Amino acid sequence: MRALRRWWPLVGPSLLVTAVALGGQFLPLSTQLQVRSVLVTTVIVVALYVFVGNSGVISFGQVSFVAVGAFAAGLAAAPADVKPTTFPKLIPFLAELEIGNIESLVLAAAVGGLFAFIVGIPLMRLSGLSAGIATFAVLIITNNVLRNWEAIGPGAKTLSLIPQTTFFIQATTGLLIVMAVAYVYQTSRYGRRLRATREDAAAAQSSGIDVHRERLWAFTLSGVLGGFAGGLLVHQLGSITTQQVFLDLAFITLAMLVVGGIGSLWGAVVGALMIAGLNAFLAEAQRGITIGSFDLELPGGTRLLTLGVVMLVVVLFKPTGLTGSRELTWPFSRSRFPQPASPSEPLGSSPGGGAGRSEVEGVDPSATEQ
Amino acid sequence: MSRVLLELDHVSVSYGSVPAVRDLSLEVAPGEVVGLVGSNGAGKSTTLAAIMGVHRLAAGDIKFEGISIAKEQPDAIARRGVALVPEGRHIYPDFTVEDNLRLGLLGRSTREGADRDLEWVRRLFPAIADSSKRMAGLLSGGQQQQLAIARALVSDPRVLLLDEPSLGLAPSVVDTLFDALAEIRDKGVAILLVEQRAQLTVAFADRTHVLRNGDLVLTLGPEDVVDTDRMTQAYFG
Amino acid sequence: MSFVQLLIDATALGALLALVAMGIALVFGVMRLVNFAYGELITVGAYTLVLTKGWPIVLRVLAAFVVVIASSLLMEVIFRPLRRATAATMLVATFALSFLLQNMFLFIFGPQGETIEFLAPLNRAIEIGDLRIRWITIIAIALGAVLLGFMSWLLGKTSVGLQMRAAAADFTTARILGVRAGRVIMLAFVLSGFLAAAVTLVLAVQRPLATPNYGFVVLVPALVGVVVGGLGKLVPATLGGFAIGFATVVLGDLLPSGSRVFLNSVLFAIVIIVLLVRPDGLFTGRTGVAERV
Ligand SMILES: Nc1ncnc2c1ncn2[C@@H]1O[C@H](COP(=O)(O)OP(=O)(O)O)[C@@H](O)[C@H]1O
Ligand SMILES: [Mg+2]
Repeated sequence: MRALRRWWPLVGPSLLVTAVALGGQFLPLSTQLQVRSVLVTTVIVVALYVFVGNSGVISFGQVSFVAVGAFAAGLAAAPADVKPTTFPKLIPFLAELEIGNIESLVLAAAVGGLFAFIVGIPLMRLSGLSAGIATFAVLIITNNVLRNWEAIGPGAKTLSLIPQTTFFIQATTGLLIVMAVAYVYQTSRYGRRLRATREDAAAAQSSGIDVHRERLWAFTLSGVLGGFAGGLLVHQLGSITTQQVFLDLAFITLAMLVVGGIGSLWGAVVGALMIAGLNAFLAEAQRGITIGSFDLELPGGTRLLTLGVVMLVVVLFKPTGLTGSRELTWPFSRSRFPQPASPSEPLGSSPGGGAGRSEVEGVDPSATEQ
Repeated sequence: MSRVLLELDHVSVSYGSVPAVRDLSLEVAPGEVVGLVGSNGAGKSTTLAAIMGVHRLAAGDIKFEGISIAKEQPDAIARRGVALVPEGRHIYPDFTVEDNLRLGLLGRSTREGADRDLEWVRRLFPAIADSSKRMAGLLSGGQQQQLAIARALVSDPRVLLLDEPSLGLAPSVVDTLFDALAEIRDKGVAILLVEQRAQLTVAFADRTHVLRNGDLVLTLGPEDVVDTDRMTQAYFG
Repeated sequence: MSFVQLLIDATALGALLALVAMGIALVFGVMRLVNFAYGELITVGAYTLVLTKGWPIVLRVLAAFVVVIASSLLMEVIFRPLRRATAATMLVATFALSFLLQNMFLFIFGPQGETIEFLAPLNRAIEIGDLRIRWITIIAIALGAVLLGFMSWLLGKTSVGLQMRAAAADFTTARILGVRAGRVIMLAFVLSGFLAAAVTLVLAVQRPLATPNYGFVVLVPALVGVVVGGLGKLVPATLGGFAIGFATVVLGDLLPSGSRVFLNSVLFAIVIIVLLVRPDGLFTGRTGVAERV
């Protein structure tokens, strides 16, 4: 029971995710496909959260790692007999390669992590908007290279015929694994040190935390998870273009994270499930669906408009996100003051203060408002 | 109009859930100098910022000329005749001295008399008049402090809030500073003076309050300067 | 392409992006808000010109200014809840607005684009020796110079300008001194709307097809320029916008034609290097403003 309560911030969201995935199994096939895409999107958002949420540094660049993961997995797993004809400029090694599903996911994670590590070494010296723009630059470069250097990328063409393996089982376990890694990291020594730098990096630095190194760890881990997500994505879609893992995806996943609550795993999961779920629902509704005795058919374009309105309204009026950037707390506690969900340092939490607040100081980004 | 110019009535201010000033009441009458001393973190700056409308009150009320200003914005409070010389001066280092002074004029309720006031502060602080085209950041520390005070004065305030004006200044410069403050007082501008130099403040002010951890613990008059016990308390807050 | 020709073309794009950069920096100065939706003001202007096709030119220009400035003020109202928000929240909020507006344009006008038909003859070139200079290029440079001159007069020599600079440099102190925060912020949005409208007029001649992402494609390089130049200060930010525009054209010419597709990579690699070497901005003095994030 104790353990369950301690791990609840991970177990709770995992149960939710499992319920969503299982629930999807009983729905029509088109809806199952949507549920799968929601799960994969959630993987991307959790990967993004591992860096952005724990470091407090905004990054538009994490989708670069999704992109390289997706194309590493996709190019390596696509059938060797068609690659040389579709992609004549592909280097022989890649053209002849044809690996299985699990290897391809591992490869995606490795490539994503390696790329993030290399990029992170210089970039993690930056903070604030400079970091945001620099990561944005990484995304532009990644896309530009994948799109135009046909020796290692698909060019402007669609990469297709990739074995579709991201079904219910892989999408769900993939997400659960990524969430577990994210949670173990954030509650580890490394994660806690990094979270201490969010509020005041200079103060953390002077108290002996190597901000650059801690950020680099998170960035690399986020790259591993992002690459893995890219692998899942490409094996879910079966075909992909460079534009599918570019600006739109970067912005929308960042928005999902902020809508849910940038500073918590629970926020990442809720934001992704909500927005991606809404997105999927609206996509269906545009094609026409029947709910009970109602026939609903929304005009084309409604989907993106609605998403935009929802994102804007949440961000404007609930800036800490739907979850307030807090982890999920154990719901069956008798005490009015539930224990801190994650074992964060109790720094600055004053006894008797914080009634009704379930988290210690420092998790809620709004607490730093002047 | 009441006899009191500025009145703090059981004022409390908190940062988040951490209280910085508790239940503080004090008054400043026209033409008076009131001191506020206490060690670092006692809540002095917070008090001045709250008067200026920069921090919202957790409890209590602040009245200026009998009217509550607790809910007003800083710029409105400035135009009513309250001027703050903030801790650390906060002049604009990349602006010319002239531009820094012109910014002070924004706090006036009327343009009338602006030239007279400008002339007065230039007489009061000749060093500033001499370097009006220079970047303010190039002035010496003492001159920057003078500029910050001059900037507050040209807003034609009825009460001047000063936050540790002597901080970081050489003793001789501090003397000049207090001479200027005396002249300002003699012009009829009331002063609420926050300082760490308790001796100097107690001697200069009509009344000096000692703040400790957000609480007002002691009030001293100029005659207490010779009372070692009470002065010790003032020093250590 | 001759060297002079190259310089002229580079200057023209630089001038345009400098105006966009200044529009972004004006609002950032007083609100610490990086407005991703700024590009949509330009798009609004473009669609205004589309909808006023057939009107007298003067009225179309007037309509563009009125609609764009009004939209900018509307944005100010929308962003009011953000005044005390964290940088991440602000960034995502303005992005969400940009996303929403682009999709609104898509919904209303469709993806295929609408012809603007605005002063197309200005695309004709005059030939001086072997130089071919389009009228609109000359106009872009001249307009850039005039507007930058006007803005530096307004900011440097007038009382409102002084107030805006003070608010941008130290907002709290400005308010203590009596600067009316609400008014200064509103003025910043009016001016930045004014600049967006001016940019629209030039772009409408150069790129006569209005699409939902019409302004966004201009915003992105300008925004990068702003950060590279130095976000906290107006002049460095504006120079940054100019530099990005200028560098884009020059690099495009320098790169061998086979690798011209990698222009973006080269450009953004330079951006990263500049950010690493000068995180406070390329054109700021040593007294760079500390980042708030
Ligand atoms: N911006 C702030 N956020 C949180 N706490 C603050 C802030 N400013 C001051 N404090 C705290 O409030 C208390 C009073 O500070 P202050 O008014 O600056 O004291 P003083 O001016 O007497 O040195 C101190 O404990 C200080 O740490
Ligand atoms: Mg102080």
